[in-house]
Amino acid sequence: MENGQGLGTLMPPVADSDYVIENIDLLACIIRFGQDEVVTVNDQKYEGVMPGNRQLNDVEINNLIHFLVEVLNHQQNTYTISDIRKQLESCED
Amino acid sequence: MQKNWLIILSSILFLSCTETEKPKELPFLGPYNSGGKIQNSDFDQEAELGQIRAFEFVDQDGNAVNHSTINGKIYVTDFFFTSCPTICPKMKQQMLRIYEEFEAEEDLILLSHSIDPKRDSVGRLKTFADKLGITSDRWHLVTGEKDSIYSMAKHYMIAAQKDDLALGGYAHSGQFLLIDKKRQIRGIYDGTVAEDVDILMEDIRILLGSEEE
Repeated sequence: MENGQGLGTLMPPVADSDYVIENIDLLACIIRFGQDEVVTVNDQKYEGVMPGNRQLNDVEINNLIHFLVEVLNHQQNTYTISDIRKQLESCED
Repeated sequence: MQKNWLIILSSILFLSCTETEKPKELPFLGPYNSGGKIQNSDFDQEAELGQIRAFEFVDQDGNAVNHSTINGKIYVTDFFFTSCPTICPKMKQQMLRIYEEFEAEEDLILLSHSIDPKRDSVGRLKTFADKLGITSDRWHLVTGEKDSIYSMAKHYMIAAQKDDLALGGYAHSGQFLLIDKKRQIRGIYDGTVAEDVDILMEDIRILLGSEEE
C-alpha cells in the first residue's frame, strides 16, 4: 500500500495499474469526488468505496495525477493543469 | 589529572557497553489492580499487576472469542471498522505484516475489534477477512455488544468513540497493544507507522523467547 500496491483485494493498486492508465481522463474527478462502483483492476474486481478528497485543490490534484502516471505507472503524463481544470469542471456537483 | 579523566572515560564507556548488552526487558503497563503499587518499579511482584479482564466476542467465522481463546498465548490487539476510510487501511496493512511474519507461530494471536457493530456483522467481517486473505485461527476480527466493545477499548486504554464529525463516523486511535501470556500489557505501538511495528515485532520475539512466560 505504501508504494501504491493496494491491500489484498480490499484496495486496488494504483501502481502498475491498468485501471489508472485506461481511465486517465477520469482520475481528477475520482480523486476529488471518490467513487463507489465496482472496478476491475488488473483482472481483479474491487467493491470498496473510495472516499473523495475535496480538500485538495486543482493544483494538488494535478500534481497527484502526474505522480500517479509518471512515477507509479511509468507513463508519460501529457496533461496540463488546464486539462485537469476542464475535467474537474465537468464533474462539479 | 589526565590519567583520572581517562579512567572515568573508560569506565563510562565500559558501563555503557554493558548497558547495551543487557537484553531488552519489556515493561508492564496498566491497568493496575487497585492494590497495585504503581510507584514500585520492582516488577518482581507480578501478582500485583493488573491483567486484561475476561471478554466475550464473536469472530468472522461466527466462533466465540474469549479469554480462553487467548489463554497461554501472546496477542496483539487493535480497534478498527471495515468502512473506515482513514487510518484503518494503514493499520490493517501493518497488522498483515505481523500476520505474515509470524504465520507459523502458534503462540501468537491477532485480535482486531470492530467499533462499528451496527454495520460490521459477522458476514461483513468475513468478507473483509477473505479480501485481506487471512484466516480466523490466527487473526480474529471480532464484533459484539456495542457497550462491551467500547468498555473493552477503555480497559485497553485505547480511545474509541462514535463521532459524526470523523470520516466514517467513528473516531479511534491507531494503536496496537502487545499482551503477554499472563494477559498483561507489555507494549503500545502506533499501528500506522511501519517503524513502530518493526519494534513491536522485535518485542513479540522477546516475549516468545523469554522463559519467564
